[in-house]
Amino acid sequence: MSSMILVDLIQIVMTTLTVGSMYALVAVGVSLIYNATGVINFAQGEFVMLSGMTVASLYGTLGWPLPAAVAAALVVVVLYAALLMAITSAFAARISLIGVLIITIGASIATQGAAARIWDSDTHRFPPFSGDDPIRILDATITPQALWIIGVSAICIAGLIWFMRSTITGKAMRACALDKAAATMVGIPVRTTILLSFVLSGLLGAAGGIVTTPLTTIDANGGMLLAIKGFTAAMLGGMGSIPGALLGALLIALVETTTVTFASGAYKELPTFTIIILVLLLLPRGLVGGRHETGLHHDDLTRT
Amino acid sequence: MLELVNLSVSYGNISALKGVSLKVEPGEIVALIGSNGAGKSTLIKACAGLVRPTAGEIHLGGTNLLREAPRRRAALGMAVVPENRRLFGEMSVRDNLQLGAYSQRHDRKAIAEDLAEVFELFPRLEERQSQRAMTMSGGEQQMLAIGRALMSRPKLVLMDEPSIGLAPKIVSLIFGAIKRMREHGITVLLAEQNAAATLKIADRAYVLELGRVTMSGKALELWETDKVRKLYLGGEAA
Ligand SMILES: Nc1ncnc2c1ncn2[C@@H]1O[C@H](COP(=O)(O)OP(=O)(O)OP(=O)(O)O)[C@@H](O)[C@H]1O
Ligand SMILES: [Mg+2]
Repeated sequence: MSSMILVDLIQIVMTTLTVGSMYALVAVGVSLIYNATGVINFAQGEFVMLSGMTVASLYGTLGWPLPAAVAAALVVVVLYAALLMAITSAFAARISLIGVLIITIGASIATQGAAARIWDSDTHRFPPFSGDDPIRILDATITPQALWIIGVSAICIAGLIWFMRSTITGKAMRACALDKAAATMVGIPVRTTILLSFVLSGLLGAAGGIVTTPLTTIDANGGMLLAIKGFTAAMLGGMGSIPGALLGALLIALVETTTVTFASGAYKELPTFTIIILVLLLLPRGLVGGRHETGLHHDDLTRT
Repeated sequence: MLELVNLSVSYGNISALKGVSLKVEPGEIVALIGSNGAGKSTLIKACAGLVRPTAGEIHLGGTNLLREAPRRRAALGMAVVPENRRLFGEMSVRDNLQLGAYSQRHDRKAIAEDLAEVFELFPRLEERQSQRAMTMSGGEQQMLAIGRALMSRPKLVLMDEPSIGLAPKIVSLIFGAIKRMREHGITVLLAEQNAAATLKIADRAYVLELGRVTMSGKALELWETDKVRKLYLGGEAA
């Protein structure tokens, strides 16, 4: 009897880690772009969708070698991130940040439409990297692909944190997030740095799309829900904080997994939306206490 | 070194600088004295590229600064100690200093040397290396703002009211550091309300009133004139 509970527990932990890793990649990406620009990017899930779809068609359908398909997906996502940066900063100069947020929702919808034309509206997947045979831990099981998801996410996020804390370029990114005028005065190229934030954010999403698609499948409309999950996780942890985004993602995954395990799959999305509402109402700065000051400092920065 | 020719800046229909001309020669400390709203910060922001002049020219060495991107100024040898210090508050003292050297980030040896020099100038910063900038005292933050500016190996440093809000003892420490900068061959443009302390260390000075230069000359001679004394005889005038 007690071993049944243990098995359930292991299963919940493994599923939480798997789902939480995926959400974390999106949530950390949302936080990165928020820090750089003050904009909440609701097109964040499109990075995941575009990379998943690209690898599914090049590797899954056309039979390219996996590394080539992955490289192609990364290129696609980097270009898309640059486009998104160009669009949002063009609008940021003219309209409010809320306006730009709505532009990102528009960009997300447009991308879904474009993807449905380029590919189709079906679900796509490709074979898992290390086969399908589940690994048993007591009576709980985990697929090898889940380990890929957890491992790749952990490496990406740890790498990002290292980059932001230890390299001069990463520190310049943080400096830009804190004070664009002061960053300009010490010679940091602010626009290039914002572009870098978009690209890194896109690469995190792309990594997510590549490792999760074999397990979860992807379709042209799959990005939006992920963006909402990522946004909720980032808000819960504290918008702008990377450790916060990670924590928020794991908590949401935990709540979701427990709901599905003990209640029903039908209620899977209920907790996320409940959490968004509660956090927005009661805890707008999140658990870790993210950045409260929002917005581009374009008041005192001459655009050139 | 630095030359402003007929510089005008407006914010909407408020004109903050009305045709200011000014020259800073290499190796000088030049004071820019003015009371609240005179336009000191506006002049410094215009030089730093943070506001765009409506008319006039700014030259640094042989370069027309108005044709350069704002961020190029650090590489051209100009550093700014801005109003309100504008430190990277959530980052450590060391990171702030390292970012000050961003324009020469590939020269690790130079950065290490400059860091040692800044620590020699302000030993307090060495003790507080890993403290977050925003948790430091006002005086320490001002030292850090100056240290950050020096990390780019500037030829010219523009300072906007470094003495503001500081106790007299800290003010003399900061001004002592400015004199030592001149000994190291660094040119300084020092905007201040504290005329008494500033005119004592400056070589020359300009008095700015409502966006216009109303007096200029040798610092000590200006200090002798009644008008400057009357206008700026602050609480701690000597
Ligand atoms: N962003 C702005 N928008 C509108 N007006 C401004 C702006 N910045 C400054 N001004 C105006 O320009 C004038 C000069 O301001 P500035 O900040 O340059 O003065 P200052 O000499 O630095 O004063 P203080 O000693 O108080 O710092 C003031 O009348 C001020 O109200
Ligand atoms: Mg001022």
